[in-house]
Amino acid sequence: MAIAWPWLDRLAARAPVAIFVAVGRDAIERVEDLSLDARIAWVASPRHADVLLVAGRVRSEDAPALRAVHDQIPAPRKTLWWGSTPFQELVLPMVLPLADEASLPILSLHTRVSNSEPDWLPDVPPNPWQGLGPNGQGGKDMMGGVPYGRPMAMTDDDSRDGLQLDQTTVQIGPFLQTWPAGLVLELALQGDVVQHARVVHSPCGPTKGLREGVSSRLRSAARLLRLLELGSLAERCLRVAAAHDRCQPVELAALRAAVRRSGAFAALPAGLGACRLDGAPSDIRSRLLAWLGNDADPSKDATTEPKPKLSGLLLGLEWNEAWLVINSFTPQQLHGMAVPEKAPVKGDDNTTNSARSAMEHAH
Amino acid sequence: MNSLVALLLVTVIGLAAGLLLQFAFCLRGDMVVSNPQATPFLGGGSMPTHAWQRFHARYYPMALLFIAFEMEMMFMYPWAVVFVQEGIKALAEMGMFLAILSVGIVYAWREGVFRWQ
Repeated sequence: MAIAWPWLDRLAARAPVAIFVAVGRDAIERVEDLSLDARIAWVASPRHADVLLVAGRVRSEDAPALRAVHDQIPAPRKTLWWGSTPFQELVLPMVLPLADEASLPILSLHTRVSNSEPDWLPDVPPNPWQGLGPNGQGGKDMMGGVPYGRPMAMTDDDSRDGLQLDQTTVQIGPFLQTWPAGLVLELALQGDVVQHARVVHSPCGPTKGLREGVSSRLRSAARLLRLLELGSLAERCLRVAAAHDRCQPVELAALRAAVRRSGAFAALPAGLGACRLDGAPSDIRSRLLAWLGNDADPSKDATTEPKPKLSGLLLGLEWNEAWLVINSFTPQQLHGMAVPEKAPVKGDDNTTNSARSAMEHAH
Repeated sequence: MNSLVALLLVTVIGLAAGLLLQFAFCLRGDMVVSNPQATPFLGGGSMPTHAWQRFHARYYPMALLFIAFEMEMMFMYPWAVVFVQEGIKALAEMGMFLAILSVGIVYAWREGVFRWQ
């Protein structure tokens, strides 16, 4: 039984609209510009969102993930398709071209959010119960049973000391805040240390028609600063980038000094994500410094040197470091580094050894 | 008696407030958590394996070493008080005690607890 509490709905409508953004192809810059609007709060989890904003074209392989994310938004909720094609079965979806401003449609959706959307997936457990006993036990030995339709975590060598311990495997992405649009990674974690990493789907790549210049590099810096929870500095980077897009003169020295004063460089461990990039050694600090610099050189990307593999750079890192490393590359660089890899064959004993040697190579 | 009544009153008010909140949220039908909402958020991704797993307590050898040295000290303080009266007998007892404890320390040494990483 649902009862109407109009005063509560009115009060909720006065708060900034909490949107969760599923970023598709060629839309990240538009979404970042939208995030500068104070009436809209870009939240990191669908649990805290009222409105789902699907920005840019979503690839067919990402559609199941989009459905899952939509259903994780608690009711009442609404969806706005901004430059993307809605699913066929939806009745009267709200669609907007990417060239149009999305702020006002989002605000108007928010006032009507009490009329919630239904689920896009059936309300059933994602994995049906397959165990024999009441707790999923019933197989042989200690590792028997398939509780909630998922096999138990199996042991593997820890890359730190070779101890045989259980590994959790997760598939993460493609719709996360401060995450390259479209990137799906499969990670085997022990505690929060990455033991194996595999690119399942490559990121959508850089926005079509956008050249790598001051604006795109400042936007990359903004993503890294947002990840360091320096939200106001990230906004400042985005505002400077937007000013540069409008052909206004921008002064980067003050911005660089502000980032230095914030302690961002001290927060980034020295040597993290070290690799040879565009013919020169670089790490996360040097990349952030270069993004905030003036030396625009679009021809740099044209070097024939093979790019390092993203999955190799993540091995042995803690999860927070791995996330920083992922965000320390521009979309152009990441597109060549994150190429989909095949799933390892089960029972291949060389997997761990090859992972360890790749990690030693990366460090 | 007065304090007993106050305690009872606080309990009743607390329970009533809790139950009222529970009941109020039950009235809103859209507060029900669906199955997709109950799954962990991984940006649309999923977990191929179950989350039940064993963790390694990496501080375990360090804790073992701490207990080994701490037990020495626990026994040594009272032992020092009576040592002059008891004489050679107390010395022999302490020697036996330390010999047993040093087995634990040797084991921890073999496990690499003294190797700082």
